[in-house]
Amino acid sequence: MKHIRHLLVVAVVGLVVAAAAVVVLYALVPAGFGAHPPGWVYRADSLKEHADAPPLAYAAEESCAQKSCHGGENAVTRLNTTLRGGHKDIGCQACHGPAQSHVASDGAKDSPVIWKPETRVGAAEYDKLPKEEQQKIDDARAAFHVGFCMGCHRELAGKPASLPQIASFEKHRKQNGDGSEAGCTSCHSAHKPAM
Amino acid sequence: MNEQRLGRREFLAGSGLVFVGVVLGQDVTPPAGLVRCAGFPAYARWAYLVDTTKCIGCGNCVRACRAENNVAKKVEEAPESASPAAPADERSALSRYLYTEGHKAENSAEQPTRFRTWVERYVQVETPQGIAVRVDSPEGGEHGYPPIAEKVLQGFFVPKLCNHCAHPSCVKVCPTSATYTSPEGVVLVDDKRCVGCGYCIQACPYGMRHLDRRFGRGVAEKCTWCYHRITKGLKPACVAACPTGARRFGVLADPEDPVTAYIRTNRVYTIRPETGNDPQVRYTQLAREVL
Repeated sequence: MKHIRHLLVVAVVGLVVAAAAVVVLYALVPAGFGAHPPGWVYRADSLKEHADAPPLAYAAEESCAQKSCHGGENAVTRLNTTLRGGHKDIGCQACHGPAQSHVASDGAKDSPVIWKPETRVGAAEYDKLPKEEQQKIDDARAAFHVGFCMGCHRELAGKPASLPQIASFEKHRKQNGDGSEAGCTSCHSAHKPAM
Repeated sequence: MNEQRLGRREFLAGSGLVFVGVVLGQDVTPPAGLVRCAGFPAYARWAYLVDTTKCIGCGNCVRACRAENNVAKKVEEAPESASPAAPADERSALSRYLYTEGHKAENSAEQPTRFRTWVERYVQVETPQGIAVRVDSPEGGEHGYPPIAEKVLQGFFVPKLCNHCAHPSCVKVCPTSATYTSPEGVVLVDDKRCVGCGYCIQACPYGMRHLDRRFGRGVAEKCTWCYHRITKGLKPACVAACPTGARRFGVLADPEDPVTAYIRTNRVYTIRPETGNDPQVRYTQLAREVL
């Protein structure tokens, strides 16, 4: 009897230790840890959190070219996404920046135009302006585009030779322009850059 | 009684297969019906390809990554700045242009030091002592590169990002299993489990991890290949923003996918394969200086 009592004490202590281990494991190991698939150790919810956040900034590439937006020659809006020449394979957002908020609002807000803020005139409003005012806006936009275009086309060590590069915009303008204070888009269309 | 018994030969062959299975783990049997691409683990779902001959160092990818993922600019950034909204790009295109003309960078005190991706410029120049190689990535290439005064013989840009290694050392050293490989082969970090010990930062041979203190403690952040985008069928932000197609992203299981087809039929390289991490980002036309 005396020995059985000793064994009982050991059994009870063992049970208490095992129960404590289960409680500690339950408290420390997060739910779904190592559950799926077997051998892959991570908190299951972490994958979902990664997939859900953060909110998108860049929209799907196909968004812009939808027919109801800027797609093809028959686009509902007069801005269309037909690209030609050296720029034909460039994604819209590469130049225009992230457009998810614009797409999500169905084009109602955050129009990703590459214009100086003061030249952000709506198309309808622009059409109503007198010719001189339109010219002023065009010039301001073209001048603003110089900095933007040169982000890619400035001649710089390291750039591939296949990329058209300009060492000096002033020189380039004097050689090829009409002498006016023109910017890049005065001569080249950004969507069809070949002259 | 016609009893089927396992002979010694079958037993040894079976034991050998079990041993190989145990050693190679999940690489041994690809899922049924999948066309695999050589060099990728069986579970890998996506492929990332960088064409170094097309990169023009415009910095679009670095800015896109920061905007899409709200990447901290500095390690000291205050906790309250962890807003879900994408940070505005304070610098204008004009200031970036002036920088390439040799002017000093605008807001130089605010220069970012933390990136999930960046672009390095490698230039061979002629010096009085001979030919030298210069490598620079000012502000990660986010706002362009200054001109080089020396005579340039050759130059190219190399975009860098997390390689999402098949045997990532950052996962091996993580004491809390906060860094893990997803079932699709993307290496991710669980910000709720990361304690900011920094072991992964030391272990990564590519320097791809950085501490982000905006969580109230340090979290070793990293590129996720924009997991929130690719799981929705979109491309990572850096790929969407690349104007020249230097960064490309594809689905490995689809043999018709242009990126998968390219990798299957061309010679592609990985950076520092000798580390044993088995990096998964493929590069074309890598020069010796980068390898």
